[in-house]
Amino acid sequence: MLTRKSTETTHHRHDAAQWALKPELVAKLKGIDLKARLVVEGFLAGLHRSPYKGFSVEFTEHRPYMPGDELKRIDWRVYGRTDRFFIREFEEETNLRAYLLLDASGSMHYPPGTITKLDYSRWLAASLAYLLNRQKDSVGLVIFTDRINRYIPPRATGAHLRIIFRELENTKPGGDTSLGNTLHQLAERLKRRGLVIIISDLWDDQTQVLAGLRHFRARKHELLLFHIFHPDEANLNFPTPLLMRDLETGAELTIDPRLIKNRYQEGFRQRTAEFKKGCNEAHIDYQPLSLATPFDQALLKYLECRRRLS
Amino acid sequence: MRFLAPGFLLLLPLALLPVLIHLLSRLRLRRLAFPSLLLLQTVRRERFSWLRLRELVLLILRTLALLCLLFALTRPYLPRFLPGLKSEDLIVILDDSYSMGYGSRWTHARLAAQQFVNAAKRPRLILTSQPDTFFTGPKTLRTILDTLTPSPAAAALTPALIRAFTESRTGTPPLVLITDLQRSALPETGLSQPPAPLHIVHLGRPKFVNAGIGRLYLDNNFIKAEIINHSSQPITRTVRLYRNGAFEEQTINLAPRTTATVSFSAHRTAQTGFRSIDTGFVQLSADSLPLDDTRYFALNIPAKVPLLIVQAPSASDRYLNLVLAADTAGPFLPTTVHRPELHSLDLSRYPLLITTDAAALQPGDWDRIDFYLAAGGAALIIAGNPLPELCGLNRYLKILGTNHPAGFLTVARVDTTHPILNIFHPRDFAPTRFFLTTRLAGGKSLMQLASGDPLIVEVPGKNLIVWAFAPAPFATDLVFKAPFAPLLIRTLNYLTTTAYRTDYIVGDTVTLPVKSLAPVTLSTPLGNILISPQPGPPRPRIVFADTRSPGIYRLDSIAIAVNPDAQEGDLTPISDNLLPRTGITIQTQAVPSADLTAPLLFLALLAFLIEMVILVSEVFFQKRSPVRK
Repeated sequence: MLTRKSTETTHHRHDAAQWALKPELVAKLKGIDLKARLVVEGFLAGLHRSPYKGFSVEFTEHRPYMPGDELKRIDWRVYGRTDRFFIREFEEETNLRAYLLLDASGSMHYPPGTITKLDYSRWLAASLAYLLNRQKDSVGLVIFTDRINRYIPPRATGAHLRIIFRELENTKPGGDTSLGNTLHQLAERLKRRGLVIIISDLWDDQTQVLAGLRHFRARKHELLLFHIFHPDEANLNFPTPLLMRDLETGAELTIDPRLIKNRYQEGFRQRTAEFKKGCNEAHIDYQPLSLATPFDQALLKYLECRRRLS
Repeated sequence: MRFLAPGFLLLLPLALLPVLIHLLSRLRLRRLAFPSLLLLQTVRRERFSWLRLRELVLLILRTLALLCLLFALTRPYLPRFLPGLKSEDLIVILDDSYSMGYGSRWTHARLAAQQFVNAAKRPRLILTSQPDTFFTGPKTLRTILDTLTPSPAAAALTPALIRAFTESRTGTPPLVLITDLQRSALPETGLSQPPAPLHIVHLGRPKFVNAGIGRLYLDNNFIKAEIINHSSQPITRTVRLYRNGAFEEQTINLAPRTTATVSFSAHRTAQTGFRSIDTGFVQLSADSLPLDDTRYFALNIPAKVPLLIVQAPSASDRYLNLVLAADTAGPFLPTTVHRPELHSLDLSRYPLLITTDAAALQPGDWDRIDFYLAAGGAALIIAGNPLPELCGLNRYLKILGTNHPAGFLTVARVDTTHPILNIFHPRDFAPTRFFLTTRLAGGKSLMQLASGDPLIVEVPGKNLIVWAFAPAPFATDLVFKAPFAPLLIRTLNYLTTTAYRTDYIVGDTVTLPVKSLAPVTLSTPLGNILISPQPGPPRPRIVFADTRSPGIYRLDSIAIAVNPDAQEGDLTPISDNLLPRTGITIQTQAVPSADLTAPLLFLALLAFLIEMVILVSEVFFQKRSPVRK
């Protein structure tokens, strides 16, 4: 009976955690810090059932209690079972330097009026920042469009995390994307090597983007690339002819989506596949993320990357 | 270009509907902000030229299809003038028979006539339905041509042609004949050469679809209608008989160029009076020539007919009664009396009378019979026994004596065209032997012996049939043979229904008996007409020639039906090899116009099909073609 109850409780907690990772629910919360906390805590709660159990960010081992240890670190469950005091040991790493590179160009402001790609990206960035900070890793933030708009160097303090949150919250979309050039600039600017997490919709010349990414690799950075897209961008699923306006350049184009839909979808698939292939060749972690994708996929990808680095 | 239905030209602007929809859809195009046009441009550039072309092609095809459809509604045609026909004087002969009402023939004929009338300075017009009248003066001709409709009369080109040829001899103006050149409209030979060139505007076509109603007649308990398929393809028609405010319907399939008979039950109505007439009409489901789809009838369909059999001691009515008793469904109600009782009977109660032995009748009896026949009664007189020279029958026929051969005589001729005998074949009577007959002369012989003596005689001007043989074994073995019963019944039917002719063709002169010389009112489909009768002999009658309108004509209790000639419905044009034999040499034969309706409909269909092919192929190829980089 106890086992069943325990299992049910675990399931319930896991379901709640999964709920917390859905973008549409996260959007209902106020404050980016709260959003980040919810996402990360929900994610970690879900990890108990994941293959990453025992990963060093949580705890590493139990050791017998010794005088001078904080009482709050005593594991009371173990005490209940063994009648002895054990302390939970957590691994603390402070040697990772992570840069969150967030694309805030005009194309990220889609679809207007609901959760945009930028919203999704900033919540993802906030969650990653929270997670990194929780691990005592240094985390910095770069917000770019066709140029670098804001650069916050990496730090591991709680106050720094709040600065990052505030910056993310205040970011407004706008401007053109020149992702290739910006990546080259950033690669030059980030002197000390670390983990570079790029969150972008990658709407730029594919060759230039890949060249920019390779530049980072040349500077010995580890790269994690999140390719954010809306399902409309992948499917072009519109029922009537449209006058399309480019969110960045303002250029207009009349199309009948019914006539070019199949070719467009094929083109988008090819583009994604080529990004993936280019990233693989350069040993870059590439993760396409639709706006409907829960945040845990992104966080898992990060953890995979993090584990490799550790 | 001219139009048969120009009213539909008002709908032509609707053809711009696709263009309007196209422009409106462009104006109302939904705008959408999209992250990047990078990939869209790549994909669209590849298909851009095709898309623009496709849009344009589809727009043109849709507009074209709609334009063609709307244009086809106006039924346009290209008029063609006969070449080299420029003359100040011109005689136009216009066939206005009812066959010209088929399809759009009349419209074309009228337009062709108008062209000729307008082109000539002194045009003259002659209509085949009125060959005695020449219409002159451009204004009069234009008015006539504007209002003229095909007459219900059959085509008879000869009178109009002869009149036109006569007229053409002075000044020799060219002649134009506008006709469908029906096979029946021209005599096969004998027409003189036209004095001036005769141009024929030939509107006839060998292919047509038309059915009509031929003869309508009463056959015992049935009204029978002959349905004729004039065309060279099988057809299905619904035939309706309208009578006494109700109708009966049948459907019939007809093989090409065949005639079939449809039978309707002739319910006998309880009618009073000496003779009464049932009227109504039979109608076919309509085709492109409606005039021959309705046929009126005026038939005597009596209730039980009281039949008086005057029996003589020398001649039994046994075999007559056997037949009448067997015909229980028939209309006859026989009453047998002996000759002396004839004086005490009111004969007007009996529309039909049979005397079994004419030899037994006294002079006073003959006076009564004579009076009875003059009053409209009908009689079958059996004159089989040897007759005295002073027999009253010689009031109608000449008595030549008796045929009493050592052996027997056989039938040599049967008039199978007569209504009494038209169901028989002469061989039906071949085995019949006659042992004793009376030799008669005069009247119309319907059946004749090998000796030349008549066996059955119809007396003209009277409802009287005389049999020159007695229906008894001592006179003939006919009483034991199959034709005897139908012969007797049909004779009685004929006598009760042929008081006067009830079926006329349009244009016929109608003669109807009247009681006195006082003017009478004849009711016609065009209104009532007061007519003064003409005196006899034998009786006063009215003669009426204006039967141009089909329908029922009534005079008191008398009714007749006037119908178009059924043969006019056969629209087969005269063949090219037969035409020269008529005496006419064709100078120019031309079609007056080219109908554009069918090509336009074809074009609309083609445009629609091309559009379908484009749309279907797009769906097909979109599923298969990968993006080319």
